[in-house]
Amino acid sequence: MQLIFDNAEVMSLSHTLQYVGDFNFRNEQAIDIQGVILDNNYSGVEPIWSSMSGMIAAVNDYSEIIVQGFSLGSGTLQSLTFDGDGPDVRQKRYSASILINKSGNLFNLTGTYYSGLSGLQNLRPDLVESFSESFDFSSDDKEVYGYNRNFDIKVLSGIGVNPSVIAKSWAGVIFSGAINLPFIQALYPTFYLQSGKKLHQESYDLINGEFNFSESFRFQDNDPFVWTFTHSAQFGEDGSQVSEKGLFEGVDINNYDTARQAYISNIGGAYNRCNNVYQTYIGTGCTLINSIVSQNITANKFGGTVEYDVIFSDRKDNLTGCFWEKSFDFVRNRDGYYTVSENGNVQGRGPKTYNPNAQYISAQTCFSGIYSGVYDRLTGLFLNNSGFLADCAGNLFLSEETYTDSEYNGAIDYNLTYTTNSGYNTSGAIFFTGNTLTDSQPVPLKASFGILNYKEIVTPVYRGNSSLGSLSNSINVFGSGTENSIQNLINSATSLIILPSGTDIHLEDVSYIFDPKAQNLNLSVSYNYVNYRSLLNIIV
Amino acid sequence: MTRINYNNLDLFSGIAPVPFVTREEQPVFYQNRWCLADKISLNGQITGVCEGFSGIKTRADLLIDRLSTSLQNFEIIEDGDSIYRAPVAKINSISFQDSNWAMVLPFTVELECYLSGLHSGFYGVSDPVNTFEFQESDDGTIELVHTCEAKGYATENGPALQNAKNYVSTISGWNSQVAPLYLGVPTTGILLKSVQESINRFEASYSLTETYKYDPENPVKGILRYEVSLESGNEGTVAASIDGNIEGGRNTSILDLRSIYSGTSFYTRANELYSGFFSGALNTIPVGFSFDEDSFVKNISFSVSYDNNSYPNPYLIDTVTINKSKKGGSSISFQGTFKWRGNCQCQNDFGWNQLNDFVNNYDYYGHVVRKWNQYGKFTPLNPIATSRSKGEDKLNCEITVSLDFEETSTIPPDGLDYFDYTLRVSPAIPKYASTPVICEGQYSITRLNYDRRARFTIEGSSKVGNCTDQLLGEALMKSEINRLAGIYVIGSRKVLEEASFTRGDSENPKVINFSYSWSSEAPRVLDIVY
Repeated sequence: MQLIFDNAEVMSLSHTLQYVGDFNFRNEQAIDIQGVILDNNYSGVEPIWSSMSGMIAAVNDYSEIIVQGFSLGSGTLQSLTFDGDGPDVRQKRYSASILINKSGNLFNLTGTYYSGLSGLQNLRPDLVESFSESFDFSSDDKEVYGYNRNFDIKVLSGIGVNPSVIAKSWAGVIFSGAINLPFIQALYPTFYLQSGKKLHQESYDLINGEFNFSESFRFQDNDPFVWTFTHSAQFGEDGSQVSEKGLFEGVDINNYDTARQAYISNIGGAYNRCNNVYQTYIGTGCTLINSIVSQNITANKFGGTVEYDVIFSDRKDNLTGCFWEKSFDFVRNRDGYYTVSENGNVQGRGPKTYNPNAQYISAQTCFSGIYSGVYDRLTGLFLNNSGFLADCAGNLFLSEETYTDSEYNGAIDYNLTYTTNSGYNTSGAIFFTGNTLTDSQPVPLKASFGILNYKEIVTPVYRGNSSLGSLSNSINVFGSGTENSIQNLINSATSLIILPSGTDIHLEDVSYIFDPKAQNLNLSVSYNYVNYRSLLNIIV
Repeated sequence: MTRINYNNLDLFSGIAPVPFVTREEQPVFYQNRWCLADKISLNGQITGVCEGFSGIKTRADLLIDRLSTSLQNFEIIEDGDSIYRAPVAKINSISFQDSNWAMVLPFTVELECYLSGLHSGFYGVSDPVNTFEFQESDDGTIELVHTCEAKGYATENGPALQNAKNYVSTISGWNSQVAPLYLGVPTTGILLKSVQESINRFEASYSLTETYKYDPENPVKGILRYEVSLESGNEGTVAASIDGNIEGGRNTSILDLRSIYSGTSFYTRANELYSGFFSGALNTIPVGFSFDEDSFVKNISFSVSYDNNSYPNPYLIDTVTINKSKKGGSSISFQGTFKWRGNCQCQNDFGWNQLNDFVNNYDYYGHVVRKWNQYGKFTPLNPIATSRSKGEDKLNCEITVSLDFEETSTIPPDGLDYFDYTLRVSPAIPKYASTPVICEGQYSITRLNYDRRARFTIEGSSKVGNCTDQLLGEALMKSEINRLAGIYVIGSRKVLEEASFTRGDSENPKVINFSYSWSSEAPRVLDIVY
């Protein structure tokens, strides 16, 4: 559309350069025109008003401005006034204000800090009313660097252009241009050039042509992830523990995978980090066990984060492959024997796989080593407790065993009781608990007589003769775990027979009882023998 | 002849001659030119001629009165033809300039008209707003806030507020009105989260704020977001919990969200993240799960728990307790909890039936024998449990069992619950005769040159099985005794010395106590000093 000003009488033009900083991106030409509408036919008010309406109807967003048949270019009408200083017959004066935008000259948009921006000159800067950019760098106390870039632009409407398209093309150049900014505190001067995940915000004001684009980015130590963590230590009756709580945030395109890989690469160092904390705050001659007590991971695929905490402790029950808790009891009975027991729980570690359960296999492996050390532990503790036990101790022999075994739970509970009763001494499949010897020694042979109303008198049968002596063996043998044949038990028992001292030793009686269920054989063997009495004879 | 009408009346009739008209076109820009505001100034004079001040004052009051109703039509007519017409004219001011109010009184009337033909924007509103703000979240979703508002003014089409509302209505909704630079908007799957409307009746302003949310990577009618927590406890088992929600909008139905839920494999997603940190795989059957559905807010939140326990359904939580005594009497007991993951009562008790089959067919004896041997015991275990119990908890899909086994003298034959015995032996030994002689402590010991007969006694107890006939059980018992006699009773000229048994005791009529003895001419079997 053309906006035609005929009969223009006065025109003024003001050319103003628009800057952002030192950069002249747009120029404004403000034109004021004064003229008159004529009706040479003297036809009254109507022709004048008709011409006024014609001029008004020609007003558009952008119109080609024609003054006295000469085109001034495309501009916008800012105001149009028809003065009411007459009867609107034959003529009517008007005044109009026009604004024409022209591209500025971005010749100086070059150099170190503006590399890649020269193309803005070709992106209709004449339609850009204003723009601004901010680039905010921050470095926090976790040595995480970040920036927020913000770009505002206000675009004028134009013929055949969509302001949002111009705004986006400008933002595209601004955000993609290679930049080299002289941040004072930026220890990694080009961190903002890292490829990575950037969060965007965009705002479109379609009415006013105002647009905003921003992006933010975080970075740490030349890595494609941000890692923050804290340590805490706790001391209690059950020992001390140190935990590390951390967060990996991927900041590149595949942010979750990056965070996950970062976790896997760095979690191995958690023990050393925790141990440093432990040695500083707790450990004086103590040791933090290098085995994770518990581990929690929260993986957020969408947020690209891996949050974790791991706990280490100095409790000695934390073994590689299992947890082991144990306690000891020492009891002295009235018979003078001690019983010493170790009660323990072995909890295997590992995945609960089916058939076999790896957790249970771990428990078994642990228990095997634990079991083999029981005797030495108890012996050592037994000797160390001699001050309290205050007695001649002697050797320990295994007497009772209790096991509670759960393959599903991967756990083995045990109670092993030892005694100083040497009757439990065994090193093989058979052991004996004792040989009860009954020695009925010879005594004088005598005859007794009762004398009525007097007394009972005793007289030797043969002068100085004695009865036969008898020595009885009562031998108990037990099978130890393995089913033994009766002959094995008999052989073991007979090897323990003790013969009497004396002369004319001869076997009086033999019998045995075999209990296959208890793997027990009780052998009774008695011998007679001849011997002069050893005790003082009683003088009658 | 020119006439100026206002509110369909000749405005200056009887007041003044037709005034001069100044017309100013003031463009209103909201980036684009929105419209031309038509500002009309009527500059005239009231002429009093005869009446003096009162006449002038009366005419001035009449002019004010005729313009007292604003927002009426305004028209300039020449010779019966309308050369300018504004359907609605707003009277801004009526001013009378300095004058002695005697003969002539100059005046100016300021009007403001908005003509529909001079609008490139929406006719009837000013101060329009139509903004779109996109914000990307850490979780990849994008929130879009659409704000549209306007201030209305009265036109021939309606009152101001109605115009404002009509305008806002035309630009409301997403309708792909912009194409963002970085944050692409899908054609589907954009969820309307909230709508806020605000009206100021007197200012005739109307605003509408629409908040949308979408997932550019997965443009469906619901946004699925979750995280997986992996908890590795002391034992090394890993509990995995996938927690999240499926979020809809006002423009989705709960059925849309249910459809997404149905199409989502929580196991696959949980296992995907699990396998990034641990070896193996999670059990496909969840340990537990919970879902909360809010059909008003259009949200389904969920929490599904898995673990890396690879035990299949049904499975056994076993505990075996072994008491080993060096003096006999060792025992072993089995406690088991059989479980079914999930609801065992679905599909006509499918899981419950499977669980029961598993319990009923489980090889308990084989299990305890394996443990018996594992802990160094190789003596026979009676396969008939001394006690057994079972508890069922169908609600929790759990069956508990308990069985006790004990060592036995011998594995009893089928039909007997147990057979325990002891063997009493008085073996053959040489016979001696001793006679004291008359000398202190001296004896005459004479070997009689024959051995006593050996004697063998098998005694014990047995129990006939509950399902076995008593007489058959007794026959089985005697058969077993005979078998043992064949092993233990040696020598020649065997004589059965005793054969007795008691049938039943105070506790159980099926218990049999027995005692059988034999004597024989047997060799001296013991390696001892005779």
